Amino acid sequence: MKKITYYAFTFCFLLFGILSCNSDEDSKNLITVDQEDVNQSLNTKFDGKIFSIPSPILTMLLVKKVSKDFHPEYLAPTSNVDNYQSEFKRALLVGVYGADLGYTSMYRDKNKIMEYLVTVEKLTNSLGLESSFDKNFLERYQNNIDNSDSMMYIVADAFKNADLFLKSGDRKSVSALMLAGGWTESMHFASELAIKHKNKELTERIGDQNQTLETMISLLEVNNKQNSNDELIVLFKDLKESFDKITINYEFNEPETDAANKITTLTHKVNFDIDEDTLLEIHSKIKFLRQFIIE
Amino acid sequence: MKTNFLFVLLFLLTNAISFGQNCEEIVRNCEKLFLNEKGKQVFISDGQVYTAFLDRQEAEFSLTFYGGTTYRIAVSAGDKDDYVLFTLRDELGNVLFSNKNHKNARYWDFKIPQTIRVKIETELDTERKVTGCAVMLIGFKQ
Repeated sequence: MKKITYYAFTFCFLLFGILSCNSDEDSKNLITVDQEDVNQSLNTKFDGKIFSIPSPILTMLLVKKVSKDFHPEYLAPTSNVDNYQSEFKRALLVGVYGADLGYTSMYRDKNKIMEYLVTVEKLTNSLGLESSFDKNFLERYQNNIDNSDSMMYIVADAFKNADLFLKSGDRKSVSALMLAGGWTESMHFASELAIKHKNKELTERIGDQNQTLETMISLLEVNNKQNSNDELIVLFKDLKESFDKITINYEFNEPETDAANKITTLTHKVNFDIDEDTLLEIHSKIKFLRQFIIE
Repeated sequence: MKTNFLFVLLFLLTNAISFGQNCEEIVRNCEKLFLNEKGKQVFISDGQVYTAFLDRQEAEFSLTFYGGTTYRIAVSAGDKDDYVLFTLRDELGNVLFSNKNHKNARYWDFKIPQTIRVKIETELDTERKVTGCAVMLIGFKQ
């Protein structure tokens, strides 16, 4: 009898161990429903609350459109990569260097591409993400070094696989920090060049980050293991105060849908009101935030 | 008695493992919706995988679509049928699109001339599936 109890306990332990790999880290976030409601049963969001942060590649593409010149001086230095020991720093920097890898790929600077490729590989390996940034990824990347479009697909897929791996393995805090690093780096490029070129498109791209910033703060708060994100959250909240000064006027118009081609074109109108002082303030806070990440 | 007990536990264990695998399989199937008819990838992933275990409830999240970009939203909860419903709303709550009106289409493209903040609501079509892992992927091209 004692043996049966022992086996039963061992199996239950294993079972719950495996189940916990697929469930949200914060079981307090589970949604429960009134038992009397016969139309609903116990509901669980498999991935917890869902957050979406726009890809840094999208902003880097706009940067490339605005500035044909390659600006290596805006890239994060790779010389200190071996000094980053904590998971917190490494995860943030994978995001930063990933965005830099996207930027260098767009300008096809082979030396810089290799420098950032090696750096991303080193950091992702230290975070246990070898399966996403493996030999196959490096080979595919190197084989397409003359095709910036293909490189975009390859790097975006590798980050998507890493995201899936981290979320499935209950390491969403690492995934959140990678997104925060990538967003910060893309905004660093956007704000530097928006000021340098006095460019309206880049200024508007910066101006419309308020919702993303709000999502970012929630994402970091939900995944704040042992309060390790506290300092970062303070910086993001401070940045948001500056973003709150931007006015956006939105006007709805009925979208046009082409059902045969499965495409809908949105026809709304939107206007941004962002003055120069606010832009400079945002630029200065992004600079400070980025410095905190890469120092 | 002992054998029965262990059998039940093994059965539960196998189911738990297969659920995780099933969800990853759905992600892999959903990725195929970024390919064209020749099998070439035409949309760049936004680098994130959105998964939710749905059980007669919606999953909702906010995001920003940038102007000058075409986005593809791809959804799946299994390849045997079109199980997932998704609705796109603007920040005022106006419905911009719902695949409910298009036979639960597994993917749809959105041409975005100007930046917009949207909300996406996802749920299972309970006439086809009542519970399970739902996956959404977002891709873009310029």
